[in-house]
Amino acid sequence: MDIFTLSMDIGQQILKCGGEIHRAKDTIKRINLAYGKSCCVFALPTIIIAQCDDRIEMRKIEYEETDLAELERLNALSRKLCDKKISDVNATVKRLYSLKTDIVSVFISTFSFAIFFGGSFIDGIFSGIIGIVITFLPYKNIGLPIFSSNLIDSFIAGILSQIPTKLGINSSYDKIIIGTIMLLVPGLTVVRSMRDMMNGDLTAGVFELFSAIMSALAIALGIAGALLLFKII
Amino acid sequence: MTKEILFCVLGSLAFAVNMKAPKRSLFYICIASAISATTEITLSSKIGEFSSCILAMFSISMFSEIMARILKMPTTIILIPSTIPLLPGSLIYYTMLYAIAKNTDKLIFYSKATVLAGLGIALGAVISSVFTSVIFKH
Repeated sequence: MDIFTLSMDIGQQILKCGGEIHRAKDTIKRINLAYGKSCCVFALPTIIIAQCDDRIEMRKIEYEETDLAELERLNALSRKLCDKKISDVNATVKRLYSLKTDIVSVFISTFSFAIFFGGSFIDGIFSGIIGIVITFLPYKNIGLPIFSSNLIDSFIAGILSQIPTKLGINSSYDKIIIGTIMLLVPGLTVVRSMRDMMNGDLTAGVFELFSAIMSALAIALGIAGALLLFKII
Repeated sequence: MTKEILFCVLGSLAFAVNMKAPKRSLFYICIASAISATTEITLSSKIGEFSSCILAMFSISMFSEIMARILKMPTTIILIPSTIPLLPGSLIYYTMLYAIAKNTDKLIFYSKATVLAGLGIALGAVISSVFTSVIFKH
């Protein structure tokens, strides 16, 4: 397999899994350098363009799904490539945790944060159930942009959080909502954008910071819509 | 307080599994999130949200930079899940709530707190990345 194309594929995969721009650029440069080629790379969170000798290749990042295990594997793979100890270059992604574990982890994360922010045990359980519902909503495979999907998720979370109160169960809807929106708050993006800016990728950093602000705004708007719908305030 | 820290660690661990963190990193993610939760909870009432966010972010960034070099894995794997306890989820919610309720005083208070918490996380990351580039790269 051509080493330049391979390095581009690895760079693209790194950005898809939630790696920093700096890491993707660095990986492409290092792999090519190990094989005696120098290359120029330009990358944004949605696109990578690289030139090596007389070739230019481009990759587009259509969607992102945070996958830290895959990021680790790619890191180890690029280390191996740089040391020229290639045994097998495997592009298939293995599922590390089963679907059941995924569901349980979503439940536990929203449950514990609802309690952490002052909710009761019942609030935690409702928050966990709503967390599972908004994580596995059927529209997820359409590939909506982050703003729209956050808007829909937080709107649905806002509506579902009213149900326990309407049914007469003693619970506080605000704690349920707070626990649930921890799933959507763009923490990863803020940290990544800061790390990118510090590494000199100002364009990518500003891009990601703006996307973090937009998704925070989407969360606020979605819940505001749900609360106004129920005329709580 | 112990209960809060425990739930924070449990939540971050579940987030890490949700982000498909590799199994060998889960233990270190627990330690890092315990550090961030403890710093945030004990200090936020004494020195304010902003300074405690900076301190917490700085300590977990340094921890994950060191562990990343020992374990030979990207820093982000430990850093991202352990940042979760610092995220201003409740602040965003209350900002929005008081914006709808037209309660200007509380709106200003909470929006200031949200922005400061975000800035604190960012600044902590910046300080630690300057630190690590000085220590590890020279």
